Amino acid sequence: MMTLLLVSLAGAGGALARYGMTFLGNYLFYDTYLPLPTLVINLIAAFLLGLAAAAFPASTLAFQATSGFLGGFSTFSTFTNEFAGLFHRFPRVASGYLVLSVGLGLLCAGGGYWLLAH
Amino acid sequence: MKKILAIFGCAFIGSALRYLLTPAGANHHLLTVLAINVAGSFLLPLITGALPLVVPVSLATITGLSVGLVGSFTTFSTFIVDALHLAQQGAWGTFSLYLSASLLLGGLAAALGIRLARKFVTRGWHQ
Repeated sequence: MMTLLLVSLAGAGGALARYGMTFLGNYLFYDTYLPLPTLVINLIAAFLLGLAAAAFPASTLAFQATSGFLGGFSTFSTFTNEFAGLFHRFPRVASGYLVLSVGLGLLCAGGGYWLLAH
Repeated sequence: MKKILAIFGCAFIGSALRYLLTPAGANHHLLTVLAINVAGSFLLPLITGALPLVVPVSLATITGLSVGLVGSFTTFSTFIVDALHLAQQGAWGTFSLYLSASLLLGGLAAALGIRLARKFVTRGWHQ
């Protein structure tokens, strides 16, 4: 019960952090088709969860709370909707967005894991 | 301020739902995260595009439901780290299947949701 409460609070905090960063990102990168705010947010989240996966076993409260925060911070639904919205008019940009998100996401998560596991 | 509160409250519920559906170490963890991500991809455009036409909702409610509820229900970080674990285990078949299924089904679900939301707009269901 305590874990559920903590994870949910962490997730809510993560969502607010995402909202703030997207707001700032749209202000800074308004002239690009590539959805940079979501990309940057998801890459940061992938790196940090990679770190957490190396630092704590999956069943610990520390990992659950970090995973909750980063789950609220990162988002899959906005990523796929930005991709689908772009694909119609700018298929190349959309494909680039997909490859960058997943490719760099794996590199960031792997890098985070490697930093603490070695 | 209303938006911030709506995001916080909705994201609290979205995170709780995701946590309750994905217990640590469960066998069907990958499939559950896949289902959550695909469902959220489909729901997001319906909330932002169609919902305001069907029922009278405030902008704060829409922001709360989209940015908060669906945004924190789905997760990119767990998706990527689960894929990383599969790669670390050398389970390349599952790795490729998980990545392609998530991206293909997620992309299709989003496209379907966007189309459906557009139908609500062109048909003027609010009248």
